[in-house]
Amino acid sequence: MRELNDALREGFAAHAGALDAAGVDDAIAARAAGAVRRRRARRAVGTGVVGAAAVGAVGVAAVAAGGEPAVVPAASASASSCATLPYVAPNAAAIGDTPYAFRAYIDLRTDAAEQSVVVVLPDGTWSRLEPDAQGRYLYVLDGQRYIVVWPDQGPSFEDKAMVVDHDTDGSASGDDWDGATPVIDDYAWTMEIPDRVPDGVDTAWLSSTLRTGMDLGGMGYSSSAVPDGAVTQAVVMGPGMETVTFMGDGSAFPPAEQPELVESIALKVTNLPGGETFTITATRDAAGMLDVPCVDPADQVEPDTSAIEDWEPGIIPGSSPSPDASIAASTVRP
Amino acid sequence: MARWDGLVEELMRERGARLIAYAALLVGRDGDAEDLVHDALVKVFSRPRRLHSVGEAEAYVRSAMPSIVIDRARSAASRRRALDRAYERPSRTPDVDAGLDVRHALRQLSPRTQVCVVLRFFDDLTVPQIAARLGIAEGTVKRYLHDAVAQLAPLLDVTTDWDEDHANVLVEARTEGGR
Repeated sequence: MRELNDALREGFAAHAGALDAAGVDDAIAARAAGAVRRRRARRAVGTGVVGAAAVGAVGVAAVAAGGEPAVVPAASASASSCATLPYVAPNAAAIGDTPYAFRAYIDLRTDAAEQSVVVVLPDGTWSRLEPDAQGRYLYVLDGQRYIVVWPDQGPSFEDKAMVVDHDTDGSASGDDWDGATPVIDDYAWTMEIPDRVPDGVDTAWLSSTLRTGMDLGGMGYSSSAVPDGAVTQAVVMGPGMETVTFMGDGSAFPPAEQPELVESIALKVTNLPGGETFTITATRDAAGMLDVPCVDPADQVEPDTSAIEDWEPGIIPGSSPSPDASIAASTVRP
Repeated sequence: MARWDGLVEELMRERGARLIAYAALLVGRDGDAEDLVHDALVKVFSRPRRLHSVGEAEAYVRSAMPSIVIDRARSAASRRRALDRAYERPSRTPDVDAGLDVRHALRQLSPRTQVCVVLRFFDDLTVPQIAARLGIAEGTVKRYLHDAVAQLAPLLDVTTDWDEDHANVLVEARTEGGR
């Protein structure tokens, strides 16, 4: 009778040999390289913002997109000066490790001057999507297919325009949009994640939860994002203000009593094995000028439609059967 | 092309089959194994590292996989609940027949147990090393392994004899002459 070691090794060798003979799918390396490139870009942009802020200027626009920048007061949170196109790339510096994919600007109102579905990536490249024969707007990024608008299954866009942020894990969070004013709320924020991440800490999940504290969509907290026994606190800082709240499963980042005074928010994980503490922080530029990258017409790229020509999307078991309800459920707001 | 970029391509071209086969031991299905390899590549290459060879990169990517499986298993249920918009991954890669009995058997185990089994019986890590790697108690690892071996033995027609220390297994077995 053989030993388990031998059984595993024989199984592995046979499997690897068969896979090698059949050839490994090149798309795995391509998709991974794309994801790595975006993650590295986010970190680079984040570093640039911190440096610029330290000398009293903010230069994220030039780094992030290179388009037509609009400089606006942070307090106004408005970038109506994007003259050419009303789209701003999502702020890469505010994403952290959230498995972020893209932002979709959707204006299919019956009375819209020009109906459009536009997808913008954090690097500023953007695409205008066209509907398929069923009126669906589908999009492919790094080989992964996304439903951006699905008339029969998704919310009705006849009466309202929306901005929807999509994550690579299939979740999405949306907010109403006026169809004309670029969305720049995320440009007031910069998220920082320490390089050293303790084992068992899911920075993707924590980043997503922290974004709920920025009034951006994200996942509610999950204790599975930290090792067993660890405790996570939500910390809100401002002049003369420091509040600490213990996070519970499913909860969004707690709202600040005086949001206009908030300077930073953080998720602090304690009781980690070894006694260490891990904190991810988002700082807010409440009073400065935000340099916001309006998309550049030259950065428009044709969407890749080859992977969706014969695609018939299905519903993931367990997801909400009610599209309107599901949108609301995904948009976790303090 | 950046150095890391080329290394990812070279790694998958030369060692992709081995990485997927290893991942399949950890997750059981070929499609899930490809996803795991993808995630491990992203995890390893997202941070600047000095990887000088394909062999070194393979070792890094392999060592990243177990903790990804554990993390994913712990949060899978809540992640599913949080999914709000339907999307479908590209069609699943069908399982390759070769070695399928082993992967089928491993799939009977819980994710954490499956990882412990692979680390112990494929990677030859000791119980303390596995415990340290996964951040769980040694006693828990032993319990997982004990239960797993009992479960896998009839499925794979393997012996149930094992000890927590690999070196001791061979010495004791030969001393007793029992195997």
